Amino acid sequence: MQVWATGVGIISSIGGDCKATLESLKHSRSGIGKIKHLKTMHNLPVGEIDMDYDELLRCAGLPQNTISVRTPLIGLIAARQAVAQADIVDCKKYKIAFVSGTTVGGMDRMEQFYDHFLNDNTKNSYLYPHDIGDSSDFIASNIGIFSFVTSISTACSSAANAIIFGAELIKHGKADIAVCGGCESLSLYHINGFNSLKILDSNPCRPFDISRAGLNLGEGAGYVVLENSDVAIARGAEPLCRLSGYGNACDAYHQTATSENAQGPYLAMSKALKLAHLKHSEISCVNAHGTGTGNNDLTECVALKRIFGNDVPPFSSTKAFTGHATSAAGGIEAVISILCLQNNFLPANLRFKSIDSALGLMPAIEPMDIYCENIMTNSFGFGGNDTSLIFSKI
Amino acid sequence: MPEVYVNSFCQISVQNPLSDNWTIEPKCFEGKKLVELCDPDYKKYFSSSVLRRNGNLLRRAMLVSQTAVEMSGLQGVDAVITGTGLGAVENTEAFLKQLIYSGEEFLKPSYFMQSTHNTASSAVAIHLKCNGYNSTYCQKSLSFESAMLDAFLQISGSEIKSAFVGGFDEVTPDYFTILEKQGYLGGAMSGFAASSAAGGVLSCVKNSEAHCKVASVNMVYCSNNKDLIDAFEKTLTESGIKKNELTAIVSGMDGMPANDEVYLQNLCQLGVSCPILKVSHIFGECYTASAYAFYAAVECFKAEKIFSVLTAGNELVNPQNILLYRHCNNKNHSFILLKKC
Repeated sequence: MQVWATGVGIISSIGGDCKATLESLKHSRSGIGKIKHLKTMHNLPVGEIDMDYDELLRCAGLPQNTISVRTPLIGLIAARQAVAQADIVDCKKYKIAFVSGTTVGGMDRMEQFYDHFLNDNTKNSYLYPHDIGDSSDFIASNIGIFSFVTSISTACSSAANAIIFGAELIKHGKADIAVCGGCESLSLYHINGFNSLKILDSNPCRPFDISRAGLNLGEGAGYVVLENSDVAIARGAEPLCRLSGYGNACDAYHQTATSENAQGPYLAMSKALKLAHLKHSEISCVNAHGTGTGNNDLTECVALKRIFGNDVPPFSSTKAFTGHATSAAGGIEAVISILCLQNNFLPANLRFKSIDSALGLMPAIEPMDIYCENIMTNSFGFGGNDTSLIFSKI
Repeated sequence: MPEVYVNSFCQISVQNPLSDNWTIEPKCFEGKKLVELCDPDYKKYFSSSVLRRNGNLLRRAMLVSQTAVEMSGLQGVDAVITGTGLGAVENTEAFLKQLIYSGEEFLKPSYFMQSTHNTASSAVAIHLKCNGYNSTYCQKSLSFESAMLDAFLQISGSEIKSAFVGGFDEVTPDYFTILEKQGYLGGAMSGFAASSAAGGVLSCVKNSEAHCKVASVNMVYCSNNKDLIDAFEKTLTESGIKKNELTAIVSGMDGMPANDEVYLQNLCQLGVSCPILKVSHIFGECYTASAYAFYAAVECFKAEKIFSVLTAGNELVNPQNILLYRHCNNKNHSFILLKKC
């Protein structure tokens, strides 16, 4: 039995579905721009989805009077795409799990109405959908095919860990099919949180570049339909690729910084390779976490060199396209990695100009045509929650 | 397939911390709606710099994990997996209030840094120096259950040998107001709400302190009785027992009429005749209060009896199989079966 991917769904600032995302990636069109929908005093570049609540509701196919919360709406749009592509006809026949990663959840409404929640009853209808579990419940109940639902929150690796848990549910027979990934919207809460940590770049971010000065936040969702290969064959589903390896490790060093020898990222990548039974030389390319902060990009390069030695494969970060969609990033980038695998290319690491000798590595500066047999994608989070996934051609 | 032994489990709660006094003389909180946890003197355990850096939730998580590992006799664990419904709420509220009432200009990062939901798992990993698998589940009332399922699958699947599994939540006065308006806590509830902090070490190797093992964990998201009954029966089959071999069921009944009604109806559907136990009158309710239910069941196996404080009647001797059943909004359900070993 293998774990196959039979459907993907994505929405971010570079496109509302796979086709639009692929176009943007191939033509190096970034989604980083001025903030439009989030009401903040900060003039910071972000990767925002250009839709307000009403437009998101429409896009998600929901009536306008639905109690709208940004994160689960974005999640529902991407999860629906993934389920549609997997084309599961007789849903009742299968054990279908939904595992979703988020951290923001309903924080957009919480920060708007917190004072009302505490002091009056005028916004009580927004009380219910405010925590992480509610977000997943909202998506699951709107899709209506799931017999298992849970949520993971490991900061910026949430969606990647949701993909791991989905695969584990399949391996252990708890699910035949698992729709997994993550969703996140921009919120005042975390844009101000990251701002107070002084890790937001006031210009469009430049991952791995010597001039990098922080990250740009983004929002979006990415879901992958994972499936027991026996089930997929029996129902005639078309596989996109397989999830050949994954690794989760903890840096166990600091809540918001990575250790000097990048032990967490190193262990995550080496576990993924081991599970995939792949030598490091068999990795065609890497979708790096590459946030654009000084600490992340430095330590990610340390880990890449520890894993790959002098033969680091072509790598790039797509955060310069989408911004860092925090908990959703691992899902968005899993879908992007599957698109790379299918189309044999690696997107450019936008805005990279000069190598940083402290890093000693240079990402792909142009979109690369590359035969993509096995692609690794990294997601590293606050709390040292580090995760690496490997998708492979079948 | 390796067994999943419960080698240790401990708690910091409204009862005496890290103690089993509650089994004989539980503190009573009648008439209270929200009860504060009884924290130990953390100065005895942690340096002042560690105390300064970490708020209550993290102090509790670190001490529970440290105690659980010491009790297990292991040097460390292979994984840290916790559940939390809401994460570090004290810090979240502090940052949120600064943001809402003082604006976006002068925010300090300290509250934000420790407000993400994964801070407990992360702090435990740093404290135990555990570089292994690390995850945090947040699924309302089934957050701890999700963490338990993950650990159970990985240990029984030989992917890891041991894991620290716990449940941690904070119910602050403000959050209590929000959850009361939601109809989850307070209001018509005859019981009380409280924060949670409980966890233990599961391992494929049985130690001398292990008196039970996790035989099966199932979660089902459904709105019909058939799927619920199927999940229940699967739990029994996987544990190799019949319905009449259940010594007791620990339910998540918490004194909230609408919630308890669901338990009564569903347990009736399952056709069980064994005693139904409650723990919420001892430890209180919050999303991960079920970590206390798990702990209470483990203590029953250890004492070879089901304490009378749990049965609201006579104590039962020599429990063999205890089932933990919990639901969330009658939509998401979990079964964990603990078996004497």
